[in-house]
Amino acid sequence: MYRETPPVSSASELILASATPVPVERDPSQTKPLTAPLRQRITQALGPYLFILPKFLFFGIFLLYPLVRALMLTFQGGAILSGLHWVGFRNYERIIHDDIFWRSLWNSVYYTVLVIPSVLITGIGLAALLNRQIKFRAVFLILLVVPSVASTVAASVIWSYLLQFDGGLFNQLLGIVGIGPVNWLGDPQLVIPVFVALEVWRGAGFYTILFMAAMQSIPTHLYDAASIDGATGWQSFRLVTLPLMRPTILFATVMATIWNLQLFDSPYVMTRGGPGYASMTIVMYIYTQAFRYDQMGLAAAMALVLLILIMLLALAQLLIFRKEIEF
Amino acid sequence: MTGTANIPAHPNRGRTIKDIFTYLALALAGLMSAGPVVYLLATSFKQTYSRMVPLSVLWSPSLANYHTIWFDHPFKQWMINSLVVATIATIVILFLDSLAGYAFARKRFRGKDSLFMLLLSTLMIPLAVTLLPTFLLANRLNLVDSYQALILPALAYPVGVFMMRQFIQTIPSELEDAGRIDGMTDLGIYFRVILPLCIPGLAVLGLFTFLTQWSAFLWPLIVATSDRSRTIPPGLATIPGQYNTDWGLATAATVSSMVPMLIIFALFQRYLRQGFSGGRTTKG
Repeated sequence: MYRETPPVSSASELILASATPVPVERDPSQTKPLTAPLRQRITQALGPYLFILPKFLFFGIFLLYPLVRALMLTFQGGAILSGLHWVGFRNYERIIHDDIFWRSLWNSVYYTVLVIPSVLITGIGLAALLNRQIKFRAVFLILLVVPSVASTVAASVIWSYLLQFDGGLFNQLLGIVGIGPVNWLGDPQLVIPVFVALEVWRGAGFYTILFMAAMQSIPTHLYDAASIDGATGWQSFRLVTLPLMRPTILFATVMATIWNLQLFDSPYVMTRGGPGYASMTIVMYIYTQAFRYDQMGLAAAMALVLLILIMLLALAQLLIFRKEIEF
Repeated sequence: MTGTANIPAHPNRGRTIKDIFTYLALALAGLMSAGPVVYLLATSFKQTYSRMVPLSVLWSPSLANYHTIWFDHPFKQWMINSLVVATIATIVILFLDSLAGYAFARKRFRGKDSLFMLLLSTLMIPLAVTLLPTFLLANRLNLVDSYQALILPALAYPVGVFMMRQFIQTIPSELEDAGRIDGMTDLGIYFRVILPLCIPGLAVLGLFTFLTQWSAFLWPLIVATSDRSRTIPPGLATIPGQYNTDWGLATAATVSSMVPMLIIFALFQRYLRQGFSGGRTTKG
């Protein structure tokens, strides 16, 4: 009896579907008579645990333990070399009065708020264009995916080069049109939008492929029905395509929020958080406190604030989208 | 997509205008996307960096920057470190995650759902939270500046278990039953039935793991304190100084760092396309 099973599709389906437990096939080894030898019964009972043991070993040592240790660390002061000691809530008190902490948290939030609509619009827009009946689709797609080959650090080096004040490509091109050189990374107003542009540049290919897959999975008869009802192209995009892509959009939004609130690589490479603290992100500030000033406890407390913020935002996004889906 | 659904008064004219717009927009996006990389490539082949004028490289291309970066610079060591770390981490993760994924997909055992939810719930935790205690741990175990310090924490990340669980659930369980009738042990079934059928899933997970490790920055920046274990991203980050950056070297190193990712993408793209376009992201 062959069971028709859906192929593993997009990453979104992987993550979303895994949240709901799927009924497990009855394992024939479980239905053997009780007279099976004791040794066999022990192996059967322990077997599954032996399969997950290696993963949980590393998971426990390098994820669960550090998580618990991080919670403890938020109540500790002192340095790695001189030793840590308990300080109660002092780290949290210090955070409340730390203006640079709030500044960097705001920078990260501001960056994320700009990035999410940018990557969603770019990704959905390009996916809609590529899904039309066009020639050279593969060529366009390859061009869009090219930047994904660069790591975030490599992309940052490339953009440092393009954005140089004196002789960078961008300022050369602007010079041709007669616009004076722009101090891209030295202008506190411009520096965060520049990082947004960098993220859109590097992520466009990924988001386009993600949304293309979602669009291709929409049954064509829905578009036929829409056109019989007299819908224009834009109407069928707005009333058929977008609503049916909600799960993918939700997945992309939640993941992009979690990733982008942790922005570190590009500001570290390109500006070290400057000018002033204009591009100091929350993770950069945690890094600075922990590894430049050796304030482990304080940095851990800041990281915990970030964790709580991420959890609240992810929860809020799930609730908002659920309400919209259920109408 | 929308063009066929829509029948305006002048179908051909409407279509042509839309097509022109589509090609123009895609060409512009393609140019903005790939242009910087082409410019990077051009700079890396320039003899000496002065003020880079686009296309001027065509007059005298040179491998001098690549020669310097590969033979007169710690770059080669970073490259080796990155390859070793990413390769070992990928192989071990594929093994650990498919093993656990198999148990979560097929076995029944007490606490299965709670253990699975435990893994799932840690997906949201930012690296910044576990970073500090993991550094304290690595410090205490004397692992700072070693390959182990780069590889071991990577093995804890749970996302691969979900991916492999999802994939293994799509494999018909009749094949396992057949193996069992043939007298295979559970481990035998995993190695000889499950793993061979998992190759597309393993390819996608392997690709993502390798790329994640290849571009990992924050943890290596902290724990790889010398060229002995320093990987490409923290190494690359040291090249552009505040002033007087040798952009010839910087661009040659950047291009070199992208080549392995390009090769991996090219080798695995057919699996990636399968993985993406299997296509039931929405319920239709």
